[in-house]
Amino acid sequence: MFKDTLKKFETTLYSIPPTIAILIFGTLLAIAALCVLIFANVAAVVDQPFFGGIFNTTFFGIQIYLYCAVPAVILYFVSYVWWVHLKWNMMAPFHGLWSAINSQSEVVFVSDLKLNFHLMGEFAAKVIFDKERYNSITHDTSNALTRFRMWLMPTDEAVHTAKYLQGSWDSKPMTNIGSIPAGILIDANGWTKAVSPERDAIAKNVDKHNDCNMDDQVHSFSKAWDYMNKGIIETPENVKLYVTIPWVRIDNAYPMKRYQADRGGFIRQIALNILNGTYNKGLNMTTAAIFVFLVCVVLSGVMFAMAWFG
Amino acid sequence: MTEITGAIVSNFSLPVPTITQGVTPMPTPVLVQNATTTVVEGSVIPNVAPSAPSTLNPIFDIAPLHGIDFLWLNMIPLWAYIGAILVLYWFWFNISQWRKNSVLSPCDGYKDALMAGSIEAQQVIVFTKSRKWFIRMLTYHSEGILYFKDLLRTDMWHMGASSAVGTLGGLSAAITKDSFDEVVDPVADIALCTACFKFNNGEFGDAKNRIRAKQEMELILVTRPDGSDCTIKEALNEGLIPVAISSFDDYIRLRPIMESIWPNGVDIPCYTQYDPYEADKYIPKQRSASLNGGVIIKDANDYAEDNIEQPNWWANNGVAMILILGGMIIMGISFLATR
Repeated sequence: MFKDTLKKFETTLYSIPPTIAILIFGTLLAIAALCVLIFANVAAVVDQPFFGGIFNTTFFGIQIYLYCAVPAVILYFVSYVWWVHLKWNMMAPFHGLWSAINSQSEVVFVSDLKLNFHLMGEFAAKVIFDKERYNSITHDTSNALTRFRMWLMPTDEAVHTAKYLQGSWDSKPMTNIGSIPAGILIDANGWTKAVSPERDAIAKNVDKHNDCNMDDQVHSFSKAWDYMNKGIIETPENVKLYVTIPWVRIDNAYPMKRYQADRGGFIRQIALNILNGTYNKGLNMTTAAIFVFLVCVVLSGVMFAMAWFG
Repeated sequence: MTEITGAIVSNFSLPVPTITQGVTPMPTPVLVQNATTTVVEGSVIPNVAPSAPSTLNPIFDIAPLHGIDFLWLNMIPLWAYIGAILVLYWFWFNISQWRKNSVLSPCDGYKDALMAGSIEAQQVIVFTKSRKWFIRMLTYHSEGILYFKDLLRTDMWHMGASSAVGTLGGLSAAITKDSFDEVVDPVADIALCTACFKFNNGEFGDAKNRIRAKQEMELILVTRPDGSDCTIKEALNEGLIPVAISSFDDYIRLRPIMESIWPNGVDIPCYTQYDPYEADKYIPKQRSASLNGGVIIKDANDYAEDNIEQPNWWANNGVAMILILGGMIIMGISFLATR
């Protein structure tokens, strides 16, 4: 009975995000501590107002420091809107960069043949099996303390575990996004999608291989592709290892010849824009003259005002 | 009537250290003048006093550490602790959000393109020579040119085909390198590198394909510098075509042979890493984005010189002169009228 109640409490607690839970429990703890201090005769009303009573000045019977709550709420609201809505939420497709910098891993831009790019973590882009399989190896979830630690400071060691089990890893960050190493991956047949029949079929065959070859395990797609290509692992029927790119696609990307007439309209447009000063970023003569004219009008107004009221 | 000397004067004392409920009644006003002053009303004149009534709140003015006589801990009320926590949290929130958002700053071009929402705004993924990756917003012209609106930055790219343009974050995304003036197609890059690698290493497929390719190659004719035609074998013997690919020119010259070997196109792995700099050895040289932009701007200036009438000084500055003259006339009239 007690065990069930404890389990229920644990489930409820772990469904709350740690930050919110800490905020609620922290506030309750602070109130409790204050009550204890009051009952122990430690806490009492101050002998004299703080800061000489400047903040205790009352308007309509309410202390001025309580009025400060209004600008504080506005300040919090403005900060929240600025950072969260106008900055963070608008960059939703790139939030993985923040996760990567926290977990000190790479990010991978995965694309299909139509060049639809998605930012993915190293695990989603490279590892064949489910995350649970690896996390169950590293985390003993029967231990209540481990469960609590995992809730408070969640750590995902799936990639590290997969790397450890495989022994070698095909990691090729080609470029840097800020300080984060990033790779670019072409996944023509959608192996990295969340639901992928090809991925399931590959996982089955790779499992068979791993059972028989504990010293040469396969956990990454690139090694699985290599082994399937060499025939070490059987290629499932629904899996194709190659895609054919027609010559015309290379021709489009690298035209053998370019013609001047192809950009004639653009050159004419740029010529007109340069002549019209559209790209002149400096202060042009007309703008300066408008400013001088307005100053003259204002000064005239001042002269009349001085004459009439002076 | 009482004669007093003093600077700051009021007629009520500090509140007693007890909880005062409700509003303290307003004191009788005191007229204060300079050093020697005649005061009409009031007689109690303390040395220091606040300008408005102050009271203690029974909850927020509790000093949690009232009983601890160390430093000023016994004097700090609850509201000061709460205020300090709120201020510190506000600072921490801003700093942490700033840090979080600065990680995404290489991708700021995405937000610019999203907000611009115009047909001209184009999200562009850039691979720099310094192996950095970032997104910026460029202007797209319907002739297939990507460029900066500020022409002081001369980099320009030719957008040859829509197959080289993809999507990222729901927006259309072109990929560029500052070392090349065409929009980059990663799939075509991989195919080009694979074709060249296979050709150089003699990986022409199975025996059946080799026989078929050999038969087809015999039909290809190469034109000599003198205008006469010869077969591939003769051209190779005479050095008219290279035996391996080490540049874009080699690729162009050997392309008919490659097409006969792989008539449908180039097979690439369906799951493969892309190195944006690997294709640099096979793509055309001396075609950087800045060179392309510089040539276009030069062409535009030449075009303007030859075909568009240059505006004279008055056409450029006439409006400005009229405005300045008008302003001076208004000033003169105002001066004369208000003398």
